[in-house]
Amino acid sequence: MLYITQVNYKKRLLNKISYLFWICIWTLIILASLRPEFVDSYFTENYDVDVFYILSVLSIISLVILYFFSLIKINILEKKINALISAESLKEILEKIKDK
Amino acid sequence: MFDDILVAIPAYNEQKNISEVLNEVCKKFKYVLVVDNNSEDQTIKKIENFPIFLIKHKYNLGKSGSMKTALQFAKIRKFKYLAFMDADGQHKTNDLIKICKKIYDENSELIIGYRKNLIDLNLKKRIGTIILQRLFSLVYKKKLFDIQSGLRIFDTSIESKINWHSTGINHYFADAEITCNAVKNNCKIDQIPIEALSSEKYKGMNIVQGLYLVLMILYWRVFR
Repeated sequence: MLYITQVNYKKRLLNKISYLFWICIWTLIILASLRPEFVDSYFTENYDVDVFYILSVLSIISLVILYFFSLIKINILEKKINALISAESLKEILEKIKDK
Repeated sequence: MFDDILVAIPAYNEQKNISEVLNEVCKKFKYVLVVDNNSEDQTIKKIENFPIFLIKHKYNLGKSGSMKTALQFAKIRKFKYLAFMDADGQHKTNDLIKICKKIYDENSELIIGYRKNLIDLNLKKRIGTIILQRLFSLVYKKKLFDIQSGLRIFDTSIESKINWHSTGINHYFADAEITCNAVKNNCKIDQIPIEALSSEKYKGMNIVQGLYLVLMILYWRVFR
């Protein structure tokens, strides 16, 4: 994911702030994956909370929300694309008829 | 005759049948529109020399998208009626003429050609058509024999009443959606029997699409 983030930054699909933000997120995830017991023990000792359980639940909720918003976005884009293609095709034929 | 009717034929990869269809239709109708959905075969080459309007979509918008484009064209050119028929040759021109004459005689808003001899359809299509018939009359309390028929004509002024939204994988449901919306909005609908030309070469829905259509009919009834 660090590599993909880097590639998208070079393609200018991410700005500098987004790039740095996502690099931090991926780095934290890598560290937590390498040393989960450290994260877990810290939260269990200080806050008496099973943090990975909470993260699992939050991840599932986030995925569903993301899926929903992606679906909405795709529907909006589909409508826009359909309208554009249709309008362009109509413009072409109307110009041809006008020329005749 | 038929000067205020535009016959629209959505087409996608129909090089085998489109010439035959247009040969017949162009003899009887002055204004014919073919909406090509970015066909990958020789469909366009086959129809270039016919005296028709040809709209070429740069990308495949499906049947629903083609029908919308046809409707927009009909409105711009001020046609009173818009007729649809399939490009695969399953509809006869004589049946098209029948529905066009009927809309003049009855002053209807939508006329649908229904396949009278289901026995000519293969078993799968026969069962599917009967199920859709029964479900439709149960849900909409109106007996229509073929809500998904591609041979139909409607008055372009009822656009807002029949406006359809099927896109993507639902693009094939536009005909059914138009029928459901027309019934829900109390449009004057008539139907006449037409010949059912059935063969494996004619496109149609598969079982999964049929089941999905059943769900969509219920959805449109409840949420539209």
